[in-house]
Amino acid sequence: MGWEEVRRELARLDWDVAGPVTPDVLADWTRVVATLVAIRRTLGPVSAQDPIAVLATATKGATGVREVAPTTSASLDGVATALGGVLRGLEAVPVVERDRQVTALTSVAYRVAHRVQVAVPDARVRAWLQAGEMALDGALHAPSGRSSAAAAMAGWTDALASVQPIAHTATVRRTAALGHLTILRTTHQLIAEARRAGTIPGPFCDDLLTGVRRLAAAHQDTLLRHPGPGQTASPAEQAVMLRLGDALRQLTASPVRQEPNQVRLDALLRSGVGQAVVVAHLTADAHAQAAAQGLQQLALQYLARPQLLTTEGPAAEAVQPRTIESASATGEPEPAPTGRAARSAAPQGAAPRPTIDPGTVLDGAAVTALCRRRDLGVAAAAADPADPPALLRGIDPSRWPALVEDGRQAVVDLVASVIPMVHHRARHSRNPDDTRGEMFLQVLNAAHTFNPERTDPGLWPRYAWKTLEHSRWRGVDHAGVPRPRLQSPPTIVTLGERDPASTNPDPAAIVERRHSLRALHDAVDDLPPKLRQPLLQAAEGRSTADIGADLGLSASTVRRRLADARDQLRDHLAPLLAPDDAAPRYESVRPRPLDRSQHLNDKALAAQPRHEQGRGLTR
Amino acid sequence: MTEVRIPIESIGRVDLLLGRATALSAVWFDETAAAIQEAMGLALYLAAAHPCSSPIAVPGLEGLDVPGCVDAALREVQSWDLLLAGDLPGMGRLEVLLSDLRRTLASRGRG
Repeated sequence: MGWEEVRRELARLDWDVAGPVTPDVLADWTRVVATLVAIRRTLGPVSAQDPIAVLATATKGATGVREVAPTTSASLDGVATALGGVLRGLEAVPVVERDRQVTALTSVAYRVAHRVQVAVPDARVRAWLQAGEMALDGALHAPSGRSSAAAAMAGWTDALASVQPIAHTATVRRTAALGHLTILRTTHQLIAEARRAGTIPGPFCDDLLTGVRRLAAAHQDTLLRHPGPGQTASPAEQAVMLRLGDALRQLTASPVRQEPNQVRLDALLRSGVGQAVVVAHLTADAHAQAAAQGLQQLALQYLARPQLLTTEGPAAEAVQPRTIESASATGEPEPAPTGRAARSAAPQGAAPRPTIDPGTVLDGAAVTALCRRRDLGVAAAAADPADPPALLRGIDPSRWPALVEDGRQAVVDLVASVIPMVHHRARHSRNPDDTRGEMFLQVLNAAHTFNPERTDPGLWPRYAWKTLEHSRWRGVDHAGVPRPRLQSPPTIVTLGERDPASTNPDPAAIVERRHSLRALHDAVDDLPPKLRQPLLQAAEGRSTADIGADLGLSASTVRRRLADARDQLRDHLAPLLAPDDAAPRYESVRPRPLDRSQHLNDKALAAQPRHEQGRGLTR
Repeated sequence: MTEVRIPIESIGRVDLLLGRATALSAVWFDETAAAIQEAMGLALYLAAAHPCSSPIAVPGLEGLDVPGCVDAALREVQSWDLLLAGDLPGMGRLEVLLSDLRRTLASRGRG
C-alpha cells in the first residue's frame, strides 16, 4: 500500500546516511506540500483553517523570503514519490476511512515539516515553517487549554492518591519514579531560569537545586535497580499509569499560551515539587526519602514566605531563608523524618501575632471557628498524606502546611482573647513575671484542650479562668498537672553527683507533659457519663455534696463513682507506664509519665513554703 | 474498514527502552533530558492505553546506553503503520522527538 512506501521513505531519512542529497531542501519541500494538498483535496473539502491549508500558506511564505541561500539536506524526492503513490491509490479508499487517511496525512506532513524546519538555517524561513508545523501539531495532538502547571500538578496529585491501594507494586514504583523525574527536571529548569533572572534568592535557589539533584539521583538508582516490572500490568496499574501519564503530558505539552515561569515554579513548589515525599515513599528508597524531606522543607519555607519568588528581580535579600543543612557530605541518608515532622517543624520565621486585640470578647461562633482551625492544624501537622484522617479528607495535602500555620494562629488568637485575665491574676503575686509566664502556659494549654462540642463555646473565657483557678488552688504545675494532696510528705530524691534539674522545664519535658495531658484527657473522655460527670465537677473543685445535689445523687454515691472513675483511668493509662520508672510513688490515679514532671516541680518547691494540708477547696 | 493492528508488543518495548533512557539521563537536566522525558511520557501513556497480555522484554536492554535506547526506540516506532496515527495519540510527536534526539546525541557523541 502507498502508506507503507511513505513509511519506508521517512525511515530512510533517518537511517540512510548515504542517501540522495538535495541542494535546495526548500524546493523539495514545496513539491511535497503540493502533493500533500492534492491528497487532502481528494479526501474531502478543505477549509482555510485546515492544517494542510495552513501548511501550504506557510510554505508559500517561507519560499517568498528574499535572499535566502539554498540549504543542502537529505532529498525529499522519495517522500514526494511515495505520496504520489498514495494519491493514486486514494480512489479505492472507502469513504468511511477518509478520516483515518486525513490523520495519517497530517501525521506525515508533521514529521517532514519538522525535519525541514530543523534543517533550514535562516530564521525568517524557519519562522514560516514553524507556523505550519504548529498548525499540524495542534491538529494531531490538540493541546488543551488546561496547560497550566497547577492543573498538571493537581492531576499528578490526584493520580498519586489513586495509587494508594496498589502502592507497592513494581509498576507503580517505576511509573512514579519516571514521572517524577520529569517534574524534577522541569523544576530544575525553572529554578535555574529564576536564578538567572534574579527573581529568587541565591542560597534558597542553591538548596533547591541541590535537593532536586539528590532526589533525581535517588530515582535514577531506583530505576536502574528495577528496570521494568517484568510482568503484565493489572487493570488497576494500567489505570494509574494512564492518570500519571496524562498529568505528565499536561506538564510537558506545548501550551497554547505559555504561562510565566514564576507561575509554573510557584505551582511546582506549592505541590511540594510534585509531592516529592509521597513519591519517595512509593519508591521505598531511603536516599529518595531523605532527599524528598529536604525538598519538602524548602517548599514549606516557600509556602511560609511566597515573597521569596518575585516577578522581577533581584529578590529581597532581607527575606533570605535559613539554609536547610543537608545530611551530608557522605551522602548517607539521614534518619528520615517523616512528612509529619517536616510539617510540624516548618520554619516559622516570626511567631504568629494575634489578629485580634487582647481581651476581645469572642462569641460562640468565633470560638468554634477558631477551635476548628486549631484542630485542622493539629491534624495536618501529624497526618499522613497516604492515609489522611477524616478531618482532612478532601483537602489537598499541599495545603496542609498552610493549615498548620493557620491552626497556630487560631490558638494565638484564643489566648489573646483572655490574656488580660493573666495579667490581672499575676499582678498581685510575689513574682509577677514568673507567675505570668506560668499562667500563660496554662492558658495556652487550655486553648489547646478546650472542646466547644462538650460545652457552650461562649464559655471559653470561663474555661480559661477555671484553668487558672484550678492551678492556683490545687497547686497545679504549669503543664496543668495537679499535685495531689499527699498523705505523707513528698520523697526528696538526692541527685548525688549530678547537676540539679533546672526549674524551667526543657522543651522535651513540655512536649511530654502535653502528650501526657492529652492521654489523660482522652482517658477521661472514654469514661461512661455517670463516672465522667462527677469527676469533671470534682476537678473544678466542687464538693461531693454539691456534686450530689447537682446530679441527684447521695454524697456516698458520688464518692464511690469518683473512686470508680479513678480506677478506670488508672487501668486505661497503665500502658503508658514505664516498667523501669524509678520515680517516687505518687497518688496512683495519676499516670506515671507525669511523675517525672511532678518530681521536678516538687524539687523546685522544696525550697519554698509548702501548701498546708486542708488549704484550698474541700472535697 | 481496513484492519490495522496496534503493535502492542512494540509499544511495550518502546516503553522499556525510553524508561531506561530516562533513568540513564536522570541527572542531565538539559534540553536533551527534557526531550527524552517527553518521549518517555508519550510512550508510557501509549503502553498504559494498550497493555500487553504477556510480559515484554528487550534483549540486551541493560547493556544499552542512551543513544542505543533512542535508536532502538526509533526503529520500533518507525515500524508502526502510519494509519495508526489516529489510534495512537502522540505517535507523530514521539517519532519526531526520537529522530531529533538521535541527531542530537550523534552530533554530541554522548553516551
